[in-house]
Amino acid sequence: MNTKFEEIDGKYVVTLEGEMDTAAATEAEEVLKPIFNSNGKDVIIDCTGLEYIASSGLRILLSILKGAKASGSKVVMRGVNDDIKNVFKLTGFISIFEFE
Amino acid sequence: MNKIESADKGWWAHLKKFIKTNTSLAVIIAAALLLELTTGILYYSAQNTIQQNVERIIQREMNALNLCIRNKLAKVEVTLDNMSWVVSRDLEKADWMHEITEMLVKDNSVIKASGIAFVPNYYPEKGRWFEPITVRRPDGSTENMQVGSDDHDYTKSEFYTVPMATDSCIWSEPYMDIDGSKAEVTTYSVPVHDDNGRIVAVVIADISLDWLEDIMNEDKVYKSTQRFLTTDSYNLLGGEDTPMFRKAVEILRTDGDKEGYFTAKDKHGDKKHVFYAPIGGKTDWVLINILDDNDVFGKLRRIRFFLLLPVMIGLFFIGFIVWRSSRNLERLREVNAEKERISGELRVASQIQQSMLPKEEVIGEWLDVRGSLVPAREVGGDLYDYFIRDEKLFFCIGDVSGKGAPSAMLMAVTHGLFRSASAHDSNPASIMEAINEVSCQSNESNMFVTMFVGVLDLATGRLRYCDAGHDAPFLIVNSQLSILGCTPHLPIGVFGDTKYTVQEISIQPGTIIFLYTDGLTEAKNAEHKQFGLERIQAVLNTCADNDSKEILEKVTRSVDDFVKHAEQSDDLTMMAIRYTPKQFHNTPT
Repeated sequence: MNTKFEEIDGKYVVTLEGEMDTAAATEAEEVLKPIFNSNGKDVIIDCTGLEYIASSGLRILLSILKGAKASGSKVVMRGVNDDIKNVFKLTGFISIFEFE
Repeated sequence: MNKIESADKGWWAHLKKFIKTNTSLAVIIAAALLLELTTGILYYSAQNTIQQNVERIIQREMNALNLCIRNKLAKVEVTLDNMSWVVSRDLEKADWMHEITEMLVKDNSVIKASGIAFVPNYYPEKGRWFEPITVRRPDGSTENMQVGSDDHDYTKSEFYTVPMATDSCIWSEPYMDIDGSKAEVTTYSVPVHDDNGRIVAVVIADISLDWLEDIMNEDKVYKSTQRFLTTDSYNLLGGEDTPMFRKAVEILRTDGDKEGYFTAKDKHGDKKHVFYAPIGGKTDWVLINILDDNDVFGKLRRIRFFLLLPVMIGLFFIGFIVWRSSRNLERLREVNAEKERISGELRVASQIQQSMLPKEEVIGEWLDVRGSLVPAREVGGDLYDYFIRDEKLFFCIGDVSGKGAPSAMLMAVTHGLFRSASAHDSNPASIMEAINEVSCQSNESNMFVTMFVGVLDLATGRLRYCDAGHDAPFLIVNSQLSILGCTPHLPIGVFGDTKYTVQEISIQPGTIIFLYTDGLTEAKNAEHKQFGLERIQAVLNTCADNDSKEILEKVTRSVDDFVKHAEQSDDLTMMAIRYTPKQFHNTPT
């Protein structure tokens, strides 16, 4: 699994690729920790290449979301495929995230 | 004897203990000793070879020198023997004697002076003392003199007394000739006999020792070689008088042997090799060679030193590596001990966690419930629970995000919250809200729990349930497999103000409810393929007539066959409920 983030036009763009299972989520958390507090910047999470997400992965997205909400910015999910969207539906996460 | 043995054993035991406790140091010491032994043997054998070579070289050198000196002396000896014969033939011609000595000096460049010392009063007309001599002047001319007088009583000189007494030819001790050639000389004397065989005179020839000095410094293999030529009583004939020479002579005097080799130290403590051998012939002279040890073995020592340098560096590196590896070993041992301790604690934690789960399946005419939980590590983040209160079955299954110790702690908390909330509440939605509210109060790590809570009224078959982001359970009704329709809610622990709604259906008699966590659907084999919903459905389709135990066994076996030897990646939890109400038995429809 590949995880990276960069700052583009004052927004954090997170790219998730591959399978985010429990083991991969631990690594991804290390990479993404800096934006758990987004300092008022919006976060775009690009899931175009994401094939699978475990509940540990959802926890990381939740951490980003909570950090963003606390500083008044928003989190947008981009390019989420149907399988992943189904996970969001089942877990109720679909109601707290914004989708593009 | 016994005492010695026990002392030996003590020493051995000490050594063994030292090796055990200081393995790295012992290895270095052993390596150092081995290296030292090797270089020692090399050095010793090289030294032996060089020593033998040196002895051969010096022997050859001394032999050549010997030959050279003897040749020169032999020439003088032969000449003088002839002269002695000439003198005895012409004894009656007293004035002829100077002719003989002059001819001798002129013809032999080695001879500095020659003379004939007659016994006192041999020629009455010549007076008591008669010793005609010829001397070579520094300009090469010769001069005839008669040196015998009352003031110069030659009959007391060694060159005269010894041949007279022993009737033999001799080479004298060296002396400064103040009368004749005025240089350090040695004299060869030959007795002269008259027709009656009486000794009437001694013919002599003085040889200056200058030429010896040149020979002494010729063709040296070892530059430091000091050569000395001495008489029988070790008076110096050739070579420079040094303290070392005197020391060598001292040793030679006590030794008495005329040929041999020994080593001695000079006043600076430097080792010297002394070789000595007689010249032979008619002399009792001895040739002595003194060699500087440094000149002989210096190169070897330098090689040894330069060998020692890389050896020391090598030893240093070996030591460093051994030290590092031993330190790493020590660290590994510590880490292992720490790991052992943690895994011990985790085993206890695992036992505690397992003991939280319902111990006995509820089996009766009403109900048949059973659950199973296989954690991926010692402790897991899954939970299931069930109990009966007021003729209702309260049950739940949950999955904490993540695994291991952190999720296990949250699992324990959630389990406790479920028990306390459901102790007085029969509405799954409000039970869920109560658990969620407390969970959110202090959840900085953003961990959450997906959970399904159900309350089955055993009397009526009414199932009320609430799903907080968990996988919807399967239902098997009349051999028909379906998925229970669930309204999705956010998991426990996400937001404290999440509203949960209750759902309700009526369960038909004989219905099987199968609950599971994503550890089942997402169980992976070696090819990283997931077990998936379809495989679960395929197994459950064969379970319509099985009890809860058989169902769990079937699914477990199926997962095991699929996963094979791949490492279990997540906790694997499932629960099966088979509902067979009393009414069904009593009043068949």
